[in-house]
Amino acid sequence: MSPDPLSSAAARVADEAKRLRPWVYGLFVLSVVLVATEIATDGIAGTRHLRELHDTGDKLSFAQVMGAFLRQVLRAAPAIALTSALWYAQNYLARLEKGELWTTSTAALVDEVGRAMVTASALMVAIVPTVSLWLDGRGAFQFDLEATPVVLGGLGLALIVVSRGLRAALDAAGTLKSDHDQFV
Amino acid sequence: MAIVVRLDVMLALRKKRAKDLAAEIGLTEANLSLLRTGKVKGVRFETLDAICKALSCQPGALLEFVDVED
Repeated sequence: MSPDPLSSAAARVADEAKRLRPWVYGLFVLSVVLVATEIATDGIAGTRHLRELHDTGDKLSFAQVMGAFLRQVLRAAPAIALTSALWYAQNYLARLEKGELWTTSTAALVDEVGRAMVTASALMVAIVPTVSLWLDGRGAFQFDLEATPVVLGGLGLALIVVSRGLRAALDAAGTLKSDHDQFV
Repeated sequence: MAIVVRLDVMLALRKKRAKDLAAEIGLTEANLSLLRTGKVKGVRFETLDAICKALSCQPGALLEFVDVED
């Protein structure tokens, strides 16, 4: 009997995913280390700044301490969102490695990658600058329209559209596969 | 479905066990059992060819059309 073309396609994709996944996982670990380092470094700098304020005799308010903490989290937020995109990407490859090529839940992980990219973009363009203004007590809104986050958001949106198309194609492929499996 | 699979009859005539036929033609026992009971949507020519070779018969001896009202 000749090999089932759908199974051999899944096997080929699984091989490819097996080769790629360690690289993506490595990038994810590297990103986690970089983000943690950034938070720690900012944290140390922030603590130093607060201690200097304290040494000058100014009494530190709860709002100042919370403000310093929130600024650190805000600065790291886009990087955290992008790191989660890498996590979803490696999860996607892990599913492909297991041969789960024809499931819509696998395609949904591509959607998650796109969403994480759009979130990172929104954080960089609007949320971080605006909340920073609020923390400084200067109110209003600010948008940092720079090329990198805008392109990142565009790519994220494209990925979401691609994943929806992929999901529809996989639905059709799943139906075809179940039909095909009923032929001996 | 008006097509009836007569594989059981041919197996009995050739005094062959389904398990042996499945091994000979490279089909799983489960799939051969589905074919014997007619619980499949179709048969590949490749499978039909292998069964006909193994049982030395014609496709017509394995499949029969029975005109029944739906």
